[in-house]
Amino acid sequence: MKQRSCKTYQSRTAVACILILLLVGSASFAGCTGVTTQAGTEATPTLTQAQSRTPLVIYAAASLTGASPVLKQAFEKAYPQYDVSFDLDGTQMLTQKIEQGAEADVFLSASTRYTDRLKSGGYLENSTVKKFASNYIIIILPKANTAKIESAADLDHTSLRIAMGTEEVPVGINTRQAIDKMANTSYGPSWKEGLYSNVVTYETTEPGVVTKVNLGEVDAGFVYESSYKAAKAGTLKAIVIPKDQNSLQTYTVGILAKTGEKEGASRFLEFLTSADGQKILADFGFASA
Amino acid sequence: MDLSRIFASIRGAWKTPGTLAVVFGIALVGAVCFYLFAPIIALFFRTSPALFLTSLKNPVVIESLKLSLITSAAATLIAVAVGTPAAYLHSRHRYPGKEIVDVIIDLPLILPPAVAGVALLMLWGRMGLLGRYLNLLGFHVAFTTLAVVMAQLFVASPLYIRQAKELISHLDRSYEQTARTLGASTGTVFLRIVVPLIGGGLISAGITTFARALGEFGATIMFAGNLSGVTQTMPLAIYSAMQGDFETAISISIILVIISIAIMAAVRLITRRGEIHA
Amino acid sequence: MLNAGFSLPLRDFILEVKVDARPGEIAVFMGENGAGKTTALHCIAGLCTPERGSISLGSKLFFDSASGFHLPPEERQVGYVFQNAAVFPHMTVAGNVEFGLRNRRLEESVVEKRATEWMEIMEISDLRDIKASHLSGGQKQRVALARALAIEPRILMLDEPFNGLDGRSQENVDLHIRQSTKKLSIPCLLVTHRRDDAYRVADHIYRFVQGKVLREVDGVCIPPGNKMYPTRHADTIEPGHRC
Repeated sequence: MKQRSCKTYQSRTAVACILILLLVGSASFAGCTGVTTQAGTEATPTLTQAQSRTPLVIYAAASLTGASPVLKQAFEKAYPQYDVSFDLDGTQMLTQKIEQGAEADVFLSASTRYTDRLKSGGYLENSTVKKFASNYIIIILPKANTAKIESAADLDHTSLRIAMGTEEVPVGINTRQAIDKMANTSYGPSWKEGLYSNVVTYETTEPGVVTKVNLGEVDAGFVYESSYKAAKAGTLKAIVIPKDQNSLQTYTVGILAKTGEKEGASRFLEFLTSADGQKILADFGFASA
Repeated sequence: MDLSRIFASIRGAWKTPGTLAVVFGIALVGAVCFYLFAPIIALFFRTSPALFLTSLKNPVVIESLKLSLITSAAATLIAVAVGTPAAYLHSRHRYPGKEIVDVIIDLPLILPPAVAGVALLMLWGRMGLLGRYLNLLGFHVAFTTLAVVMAQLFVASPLYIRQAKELISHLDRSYEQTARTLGASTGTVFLRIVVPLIGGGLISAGITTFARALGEFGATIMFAGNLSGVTQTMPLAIYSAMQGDFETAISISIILVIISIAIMAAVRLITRRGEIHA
Repeated sequence: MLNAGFSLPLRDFILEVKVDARPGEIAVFMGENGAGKTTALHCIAGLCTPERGSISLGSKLFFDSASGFHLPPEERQVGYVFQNAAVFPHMTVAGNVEFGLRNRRLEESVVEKRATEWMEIMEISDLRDIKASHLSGGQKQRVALARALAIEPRILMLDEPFNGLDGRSQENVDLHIRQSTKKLSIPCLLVTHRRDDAYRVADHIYRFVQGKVLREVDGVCIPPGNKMYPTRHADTIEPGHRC
């Protein structure tokens, strides 16, 4: 018995050692990558001077994920007294969070529907609300494109797998509108029917669609052009939907009624609509409003 | 009443360590209960019985309830059928690498479900290590109802195997050994001695496994996707409904709460019966 | 006739067993807890495997390390009563007694006849439909005995059968063991740590001391002969040593 427990003890220690090594290994790996990114941001001398910076919380639609760090960097460079943090989520989720009393300063919405809801609910400074960008729907394909999709017309082929947003999220609403227009103008109702029967997942966030296409788990997905632009070059292929058959999503920005940092919020708003801000948004595939 | 007397009695109570301990104890337990139970109560305040009953007719609710019950039951059955003999063989034998097997069994329990989902895709997905060969054979796993069961099984079965291991390790070996000397094969010993003796424990382990499978979200949405009637289980339906139809989200949540309470009551009942037996 | 000579490394010492027992004879294994008595029974029953040596019962070979032969326990047909009786609590008394018979796929009429017979011998017929978990210690002991004997074993092995029994039950068990081993004409191995029990029932006694086994005759340890034991053991225990 004792022999057995001794043996057990030894192998247990061995397993523990392996695990600790793994942990330390992964931590140092993460540490290394962390250092490089930090070095990048800390290169800006103005940042180190600002001892206590005012926090600025920005609720932004998930489709702004790619643009958000660049916006943050550029804004903080111009206004070093602010410490911008982005909370990125589906616009509908952000709307609900605000309605449930979440505290934020600026709301960047991918859907006028939800902006209007917050406006009528008195959650926004209604006079500050304005359009700042727009976005079109695009069809993305995995780089390998094993399904050999050449155009939107192919999307009704049997045994394809398609991902799109649910009908509650803005990208899902725009996707449906675009599909309706394409069906009405060129491809017909049976194409639409075939396309929908190929849908294997209705994602609750836009990045969910991108990931599944990226992994090659689905053959095609519907996302905003900005998401395609934000993706690492060469990882995705795209089929552009003509503007007349597309659905335009308008992005709006507004200052929250309950903000404690009105000055910083309005500075961010100005920055977003300035030439600098618009340039960044354009780089990430957003059209001007 | 005389105010100074009340004050004195409070002071007296404060001075008696027993009373103080009782008051402190009640306050502490009360705080814990409030923190854990109040959110669940709050769920019921956001809806009315009428609204709840209407949303029960909502096809999204019905479809997700049906799918959840079927897939969780399937995952539980597989976990029980495969996990019980595996736990038995594992617990009753010494073999090289046994400790590593223990770690492997426990790993999914501490793994974030989203990681589990990505990991399953990397193995069974269309571009996955195994999935790519299955794909050549025309067999798709990801984004099917099977994928839901697989995700639930991956996340929930360790819970079952762990409990089964625990039960077996506490079972006196002399029952099995006696049965062997009485001419029973390993299989007979397992089915006629081990399973009946720890049956109550196995059932409650199965029920908690079912509950875990029922609540699975992260791995499912990653590996199986979100398609009503095919892969949209109740937790996924809640999350999807949260994007717009708040009422439906609350209704499904309430159904899950009711199922959870029923599950806990069942476990209590079974373990209590088991205690009398032992 | 049981012939067992084997060795097995245990926690603190190497267990070296050399025992024999004739049909109808009760050999008692006596010694402190942890001296290796139960392990020796386990090895004979096939529940654990010795490192080297051989075990045979009459012409039936159970174990032989030289040829790597190990007969699985279910084929050895040994009647083994564990220390706690190990009566299956989820079965009735009859279910317990019939368990071994059913495993041998005997005809239902034979199963019932033999079970009934042994329940009568052990005076547990009244209890036949009672769940075994409701029995007293003495009753459990008798059920375990009936169950072990019903398979008509080649050898009967009992581990501390008198533990927790009152005087009357003890006499009862005594009597049953003696009668049954005579009736079936099989050797019996009985493990106990209590001197009184040992002297009362034993035809001969094996004393287990730190893994070494000494045969005791008239209260005196007989030193192991050269052919049975490695010489170093003979060195550690003097001839004529009082047990």
